[in-house]
Amino acid sequence: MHSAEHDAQGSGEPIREPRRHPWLWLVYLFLYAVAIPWYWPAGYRGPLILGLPLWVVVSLLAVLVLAAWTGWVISRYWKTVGEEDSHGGR
Amino acid sequence: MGAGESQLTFGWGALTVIALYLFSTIGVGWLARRSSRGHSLADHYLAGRSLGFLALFLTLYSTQYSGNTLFGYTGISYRIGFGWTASILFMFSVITGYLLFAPRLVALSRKKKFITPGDYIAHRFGSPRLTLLSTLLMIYALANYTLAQLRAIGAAVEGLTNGTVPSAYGIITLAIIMVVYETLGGMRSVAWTDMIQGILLLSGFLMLLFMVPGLAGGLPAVVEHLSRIDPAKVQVPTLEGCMNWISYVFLFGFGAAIYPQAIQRLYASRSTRVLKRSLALMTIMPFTTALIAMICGVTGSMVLPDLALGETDQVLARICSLIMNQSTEGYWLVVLIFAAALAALMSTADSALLSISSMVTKDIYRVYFRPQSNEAELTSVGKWCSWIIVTLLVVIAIGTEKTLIRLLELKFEVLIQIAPCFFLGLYWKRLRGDTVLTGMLAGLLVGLGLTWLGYPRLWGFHAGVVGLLVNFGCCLAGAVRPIAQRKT
Repeated sequence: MHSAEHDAQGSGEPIREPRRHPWLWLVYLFLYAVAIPWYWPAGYRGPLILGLPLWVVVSLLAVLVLAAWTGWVISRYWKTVGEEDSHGGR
Repeated sequence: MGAGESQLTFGWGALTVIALYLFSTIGVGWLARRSSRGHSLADHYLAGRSLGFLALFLTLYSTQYSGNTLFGYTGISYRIGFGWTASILFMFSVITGYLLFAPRLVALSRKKKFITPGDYIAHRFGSPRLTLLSTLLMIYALANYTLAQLRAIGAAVEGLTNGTVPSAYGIITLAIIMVVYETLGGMRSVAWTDMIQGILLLSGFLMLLFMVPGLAGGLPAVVEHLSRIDPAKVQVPTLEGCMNWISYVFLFGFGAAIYPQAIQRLYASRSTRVLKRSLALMTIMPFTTALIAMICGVTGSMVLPDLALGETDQVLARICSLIMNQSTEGYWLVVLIFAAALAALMSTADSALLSISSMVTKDIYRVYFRPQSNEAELTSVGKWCSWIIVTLLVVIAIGTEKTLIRLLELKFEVLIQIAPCFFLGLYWKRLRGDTVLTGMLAGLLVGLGLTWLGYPRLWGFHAGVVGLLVNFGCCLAGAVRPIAQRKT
């Protein structure tokens, strides 16, 4: 039964993948912590920026940084053998 | 202005445009059928693993952002206000979820030619019981998901016409069109129609952003108004509210990332490079959809202040009625938005339907009823399955009463329990099928048990997420036990 496990863990493995780099996930943790508005005083609204309350703008900016960070992580830390190849569907 | 004052009547011109759009999807299905290369399962369910960047990105986009994003999210924003900023974060978290398992799964799927998620589970764990339970849970969750889309179609039609057209008519018509083009060209049809639907959806959302806040004199006026009459809608969430944000991040990061139709799109990409580029672009899409849906919902709570709880999922449709009654331009913009709404609903529902059909055919029919069947027979059975499933779902959709967002959550409670198969199974060599099965059953027991006992959330955490915690705990204990036994 566990012969299949060998394949899952062995051949076909990416050369480089985000999961193997813990520091990337520490950055994710920090950015998610900024995006979730737990650190504002209770009942806070704040001034309006582009028509949105300050705390909303801060959360949105954090998600924007998360998006940029993820784009960078995908381009630098996700590499597989022969990733330019077609799946063979043609 | 009350909700009941707005009345929508599409003229023949608008109805013709919408009909043309709907029937064009059948035309696309016919073209996809002509482009198919044989009757293999890979061709029907994965478009021959040939999706390029534009097709893959737009099908990922239009599948992930559904009718719930338009109607459910505007509805909940109407009810809770800016607290629904959570939706932008948790829709993003789906991509984070992919990064935790997709690199390895994609590589493996290319090597082993997987068609369904069940193929991976069977290959990795070699446990028929685990594969069957996982498949049944995925089918249940997807059926529920499709049901939510069908009900949203009903809400859209009924809301836009103020009840003049019964929701059942919209549900039946759209379901038939969907299943026709899906039967014609399978994943190729779905992906190609998703391209049209994705562009329509994006255009519709941008139109909403430019038109809706103006109804209330701009976003600052909305916020100032709500600050006076209902300050909780503009204030920062409570601590329990923040817990709920975290829970949603887990729910979507683990749950939406392993949607069978999403996993099949990972399988269907032409290359890893195409997939990476598509996922990178997907990271910014919450800003073009969930954020705009929230702005519309919050604006709706000012311009349509008296909607009853059960009517809040119709807030967007009611807002559209207001816009179209203002001017000729407004009228045609609403026609576009209506088409975008239909696109959102259909693109999600057709993908889910195709995925259900593939799992019923490959993981159940082939394994338990006709192991000797060839691919052409399985493809044919899959097409019949689509018709039977859609008929059942239409009957249920017409006869159920729940708010859209609740339907959305219930499917995750179940689906999320499969997460360890992917998030742990791809990386933990010593994780065995019986351990995962035990964890899955424990997670289901806790998640569904809490829901049925009247605790859908504990300290802001969804019951399904609490169940997943127990599930992961079981997997961890099961994987660590052999090491402890060896040491003693």
